[in-house]
Amino acid sequence: MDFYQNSRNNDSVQPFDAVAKPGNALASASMILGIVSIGSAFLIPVLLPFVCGALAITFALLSKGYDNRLSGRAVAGLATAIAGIVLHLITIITTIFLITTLPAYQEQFQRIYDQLYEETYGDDFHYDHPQSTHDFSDFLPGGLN
Amino acid sequence: MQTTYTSKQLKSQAKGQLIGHYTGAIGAEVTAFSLIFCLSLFSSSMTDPYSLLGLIFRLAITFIISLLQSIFLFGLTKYYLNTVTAKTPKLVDILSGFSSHADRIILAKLFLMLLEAVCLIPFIASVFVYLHFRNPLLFVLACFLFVCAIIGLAFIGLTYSQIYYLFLDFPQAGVKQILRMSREMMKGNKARLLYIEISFIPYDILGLLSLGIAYLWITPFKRMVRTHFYLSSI
Repeated sequence: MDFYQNSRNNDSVQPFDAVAKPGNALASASMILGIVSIGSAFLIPVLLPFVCGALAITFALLSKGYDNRLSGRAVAGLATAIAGIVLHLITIITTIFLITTLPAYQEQFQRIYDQLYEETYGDDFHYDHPQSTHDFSDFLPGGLN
Repeated sequence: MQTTYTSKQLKSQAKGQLIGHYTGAIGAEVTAFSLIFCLSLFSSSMTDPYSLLGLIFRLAITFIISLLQSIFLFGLTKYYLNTVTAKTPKLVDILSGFSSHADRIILAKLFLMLLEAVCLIPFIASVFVYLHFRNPLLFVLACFLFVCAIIGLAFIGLTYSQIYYLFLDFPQAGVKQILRMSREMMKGNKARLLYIEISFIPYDILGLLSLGIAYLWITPFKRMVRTHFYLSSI
């Protein structure tokens, strides 16, 4: 009989109903990353909440082990991660909505854009504000008049 | 004796088995990936992609790397089988294919590549014909052949998915015998494995959302589920 078939016949292979230690480390990591996801949802408008949220959900799901139920910490991690991702999505959608509808935010956005453009390329963005027909705000619904 | 476990049971078993073994499994995955990646990087830096000779050389290198990949895949399979069967998995397991079964693994891989080429050639030919004649009917034909190629590739992938496990379990068997065994083993099990593979899609979405970081944990989990699938199917 071969190597692995021998091993499978041993008692060393865990049966499906075996009791194993739960993935405490993974569940804890999930909870911490979930909290970071919520915390960063409003503060940092980049991908951090998505990255932390996705990792938190993955860890929560993998921490189940042989159990069919999630531990308390894993549930907390899952809930905070989903909340963090949803809040970040709401933040992004709200920001886009405000920039495209309110003139005050459009002006602010244009100022930040100009500043970043100048920092990156060492030159002004070429348009004659606000008389130019090629104004940057023309690209936005509502314009900047 | 064959025991049919559900996808949920296999995943539960894999998750339980991996707890406490993630560090080693991630180490094995990262090592195998790094070796392949370094080889690919080195070979691509050596060739000039803008000349015909360079292009041919690069294709040849890609072909050799895909053969090497199959040997590493065999090593990873051994690593996970050792983890499941409560043996002590070692990092050097990922190189075990080079010392024991390299010739047979390469032969089997060549056979699979040939089958995959047979599936893809009609589609590639139809694309070239379409680009030459620009006929909408040929575009529809190319789309149809693309779908056929995908179905064919999935069928081949599922049918011969167990060859690396069988190479380990039956070290004396020849390549033809292993391929036949995999075919017979997957009779009536292909839909089950396809369902398991499709059920990994949410994990893949999480992996992409985390910019690939979550794949460090997801990949060992997937391989462990496939290992349990093999053990439950044989």
